[in-house]
Amino acid sequence: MKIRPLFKEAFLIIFLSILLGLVYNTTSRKGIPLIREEIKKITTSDTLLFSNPEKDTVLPNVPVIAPLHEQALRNADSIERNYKRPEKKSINIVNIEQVKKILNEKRALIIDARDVESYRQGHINGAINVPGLSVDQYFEKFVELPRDTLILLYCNNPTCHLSRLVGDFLQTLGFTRLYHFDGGFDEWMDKKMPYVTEDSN
Amino acid sequence: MRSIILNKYLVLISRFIVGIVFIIASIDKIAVPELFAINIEGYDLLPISLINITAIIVPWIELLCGIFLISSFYLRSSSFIVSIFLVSFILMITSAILRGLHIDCGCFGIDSSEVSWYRVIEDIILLLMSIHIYYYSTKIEDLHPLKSGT
Repeated sequence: MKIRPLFKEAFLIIFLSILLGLVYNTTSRKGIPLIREEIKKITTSDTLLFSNPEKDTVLPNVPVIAPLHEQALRNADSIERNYKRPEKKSINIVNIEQVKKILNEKRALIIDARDVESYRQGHINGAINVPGLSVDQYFEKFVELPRDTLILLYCNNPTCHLSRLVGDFLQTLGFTRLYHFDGGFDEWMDKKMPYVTEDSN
Repeated sequence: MRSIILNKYLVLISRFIVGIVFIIASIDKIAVPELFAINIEGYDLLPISLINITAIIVPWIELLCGIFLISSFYLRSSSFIVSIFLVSFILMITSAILRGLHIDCGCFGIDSSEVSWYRVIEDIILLLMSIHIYYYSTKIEDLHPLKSGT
């Protein structure tokens, strides 16, 4: 068996892949930085979360009628075109107790970032479905919201990425109060919390 | 045994199955590298700094190998790389299951499914096919040096 040509060919394939990968990554809109940074999870204190209650009376599932951000709408196309992942590599996380409190007081827009099918099978009451993988389709809905809306995001569990994709997108649009329910729907089910399915909602 | 290894229809089937699986698996990962990077991150096996570069390059290796397997071009080396990939996938998924991680397997990009023994078995079958292709191509090369596509 001739060993040299095998490795020569294999290296050629790998070299070609490196070349294609790097070129594609620099030209693609969804390209990523070559070196990854760790995402820091910052726990959120109750005082920060519940400091000014009068501001956050967003009823879940009710479209928020808010002053249109004309500037944002006018720049809608260019914002979308220039969409880049934000530099900031940290997310604010909340625990299940804080989620319960937020739910009780109906003070936040709750976003379920999982896929449509998972959402249909069960989700936190009042949550709207914005699948992380197609978040850009919801641009027009989000752009009308006040940028200081309290937004609670969740997906399955702490390693789930879908809510981060939505969070990144919203951060790019200028939303400032984004909180991730780190335990996600898995913890929600583990703790036997109530949930709704599509039919009963 | 020799006749099974050298059966060209059997190897044709293996080539197409492994090739198509690898091409399909690569497309989504190439389209959305961030997603694949997050999948790799979930395994918690690679240092953070190497994750993105892996997520950028590995899907292209999968794609090229898939195309080469189907087109019978560079057959020996592409089946060699595919076999090494499959061995590492098997080890990674097994380690994730044993560590009790409930993570997205990342096998087929966007089509997410949790790591499971089912995935391991799937990969073992693909590995057997790919080893078969590798042996076939070396034998063929010994018999007819010009037909191996090298």
